[in-house]
Amino acid sequence: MSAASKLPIAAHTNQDNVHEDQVNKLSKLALLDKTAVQRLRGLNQSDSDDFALELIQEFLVKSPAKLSLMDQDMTAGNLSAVYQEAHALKSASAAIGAMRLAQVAERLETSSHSNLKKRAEQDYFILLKIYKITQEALQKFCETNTFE
Amino acid sequence: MKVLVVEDSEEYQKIISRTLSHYAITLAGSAEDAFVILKKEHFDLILVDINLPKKDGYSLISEIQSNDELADVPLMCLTGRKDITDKITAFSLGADDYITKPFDPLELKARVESRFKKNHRKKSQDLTTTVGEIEIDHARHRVTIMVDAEKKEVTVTQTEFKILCCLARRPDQVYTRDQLLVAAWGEDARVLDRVVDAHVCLLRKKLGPCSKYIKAVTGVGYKLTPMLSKSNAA
Repeated sequence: MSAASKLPIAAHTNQDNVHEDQVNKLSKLALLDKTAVQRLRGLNQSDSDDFALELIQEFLVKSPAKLSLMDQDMTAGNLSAVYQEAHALKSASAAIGAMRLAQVAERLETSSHSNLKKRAEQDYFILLKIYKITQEALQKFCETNTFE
Repeated sequence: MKVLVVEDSEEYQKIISRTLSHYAITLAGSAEDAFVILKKEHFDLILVDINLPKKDGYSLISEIQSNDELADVPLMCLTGRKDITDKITAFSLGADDYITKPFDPLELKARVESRFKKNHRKKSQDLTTTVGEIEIDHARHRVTIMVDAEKKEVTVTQTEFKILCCLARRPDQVYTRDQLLVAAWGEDARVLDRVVDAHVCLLRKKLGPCSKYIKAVTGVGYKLTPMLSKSNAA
């Protein structure tokens, strides 16, 4: 089973058409920022070392479980837990240069922190969509070592 | 140099550790863990994330600042919070620097190096006092003067050293004989205030050309004057 197919989908967020425009608005931000990757590569300790790749691969392995937890908390309406999880996802994605995902995670962080349930649900739905395409872009990067 | 990094994100822990790999890094995942570590070890710099589980970074900064032993350790915030109110809060609590995530590792490295340089310079300055051409090294208990553009060490007694340090504390301020007496012999000393004159006289002789910086103020006491009038400087 691929990492993409492990993506959790909360039952209450089936609102594909409603938020398509909001997803598109975020498309100005890079799925994987080239400059961020280059900065991370500046920290390579040897010629065979690729620190950026190491962090991205780790993100791909760990993030599905984190998303799954977020999905449970979203379903349970536990917004304080969602806030912590969104913050962690924002931090992790910004660290590797997944800027579009970091942006939408920040939106969810804000709405869940403000206890705006409906807004948080919308943000979560957008986050799932962005996460899926980010995951695909990151997997492609890991396989080909090239940017889209 | 020892750096404590208080950061809950594993990704940033790794990035910071690599960026500052030439320093001794200790990682803490929470403010609570950080305080336990700080009670046991001394650090030259603390990097603090603001969004931490349970207690946030602000609480940690406040606790550090209210602890006399830790208050002088430089503090840098490394956070995703970009709001001006967050920055102002951090600085008002005692942070020395504020870096927003994502950051360029080169910038972090440069800021940390700069902070260490400034701190080193400040520590050296705290240990020496210069008044005119007289330099007092408090740590080494040494007095040097400039003679013909060359540094010359002057051997002074402990009493003379204490009188000189007292005068150098606030240049241009007049110290009474009583004040100098307390500075040199302590509160309970039973010494005539004219003994101060004798010691200042000996100190002046030892300071040679730099004796001009010690001025007698008739009927009051003495002061150390770094800026000399033209007639005195000539």
